Amino acid sequence: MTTPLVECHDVTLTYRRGAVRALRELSVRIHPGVVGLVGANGAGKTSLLRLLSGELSPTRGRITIGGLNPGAYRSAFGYGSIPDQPRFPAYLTVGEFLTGLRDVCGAPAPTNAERALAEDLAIDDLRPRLLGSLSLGQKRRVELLAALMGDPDLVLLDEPTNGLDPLAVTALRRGLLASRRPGRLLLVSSHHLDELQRVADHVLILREGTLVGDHSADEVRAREESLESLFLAAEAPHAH
Amino acid sequence: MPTSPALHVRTLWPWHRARWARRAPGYAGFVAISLYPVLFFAPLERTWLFDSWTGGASALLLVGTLGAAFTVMRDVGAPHAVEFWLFQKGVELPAMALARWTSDLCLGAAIASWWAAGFTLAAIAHGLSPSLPLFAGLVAWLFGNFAIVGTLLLVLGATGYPRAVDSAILILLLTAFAPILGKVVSPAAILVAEIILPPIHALLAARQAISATTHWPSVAAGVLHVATWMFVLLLLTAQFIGRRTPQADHARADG
Repeated sequence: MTTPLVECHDVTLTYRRGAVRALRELSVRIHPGVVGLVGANGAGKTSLLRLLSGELSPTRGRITIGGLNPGAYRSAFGYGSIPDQPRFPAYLTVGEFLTGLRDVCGAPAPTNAERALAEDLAIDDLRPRLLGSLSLGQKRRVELLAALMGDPDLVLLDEPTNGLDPLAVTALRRGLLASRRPGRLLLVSSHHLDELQRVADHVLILREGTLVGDHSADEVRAREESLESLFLAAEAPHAH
Repeated sequence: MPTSPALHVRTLWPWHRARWARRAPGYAGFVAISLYPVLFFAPLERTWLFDSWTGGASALLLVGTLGAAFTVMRDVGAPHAVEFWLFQKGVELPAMALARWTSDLCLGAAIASWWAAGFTLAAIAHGLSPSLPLFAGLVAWLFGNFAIVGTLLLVLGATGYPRAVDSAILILLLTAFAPILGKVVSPAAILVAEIILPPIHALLAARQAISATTHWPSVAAGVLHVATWMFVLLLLTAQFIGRRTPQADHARADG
């Protein structure tokens, strides 16, 4: 069993002076691999991702990543992240954006892994184009490569396949699988359960800010269930 | 990973160049900036606007500098999409804003130098004898105004207020009218206002001191006032931006 990269201990996150409870005493250990994060809208998936990125601090409880708090981890090692909506400076070309980001990461030239992933994602044809001129699927591919710049151990993906056509989803899935390596955690929040089931080693199910399901892919297969049936079972007492 | 703003300016110089070329001032803006000194060669003293060529050219310089500053630095303190990506690579948001501000000031210095050179050549064409100290003082005056506007836009953008440019224009107008307000408010209030408001008058006084005689105490006082004002605003900027998230939604969790 590998050492967990992320540990959450009784993490609570509230907004507006307690009026909104995004996470409630969440405790979980997340090991490297591809881990799916599943839940209805408002379950706390994005809030958890933002806590792990260090953008927000928990109202109560403790989060450690590699033994450090998220802010210290980010300063020391960085991480990779894809937002739920693409965020790009429209005035840069793909090539300028990726080169600049690589310079910030302190890498003088593309690594073999980066070259291979760029080929898998068919990025080279996009390099001369302005980021603002790309389609959603093209942006997502560039985002994945950018997120993996600097070879981070922690990669957070928030609804990466939203709005993508099947071809784009396939390309992204291919890129995601190609980016797996020992020691890396790819935490993927997604509503596309069938897609998640194809890539995830482990799945966490959130409901109203609490962890209600923690299943390995092997366990799901052994029970001959689908991720969708597990999710619906977890939601069942609260179905309208 | 680089954490110093100076490293960000150098490392991300190609990004800043692309932003200037494709966004602000843009290619058309660069053409306008390059050709602006042509106006100084016109017989400004013959227009109804100006009494002398020197007064007209100085007015054009000041208006042009303020316009260039508002154009280049209009969103210097506002959230930028690049922040989302640099944040995850270990860069702090205030450092990014400071690097953006610094790089835009470098462009401002280049514009100030180019326009001061144009002014100097036009002065010679008009039969005047400009000196090297005058040229240097002119560059410093123009750059100082550019930096004051840029710093004001930085802190106003950092607050998250969407109308930073409008607010900055209002504050500068207030500064310009401060001497007139002295007739209706107390001298103490005017003194406080002159400390807090953008020190445009301090720069103007310093420049006039250079033009007449080299009265170094006036120059030093003006420079000190400007530097202190900018330092305080930069501290405020760091505070405002430190509370921002890289997704620029100002989400504030409790605790």
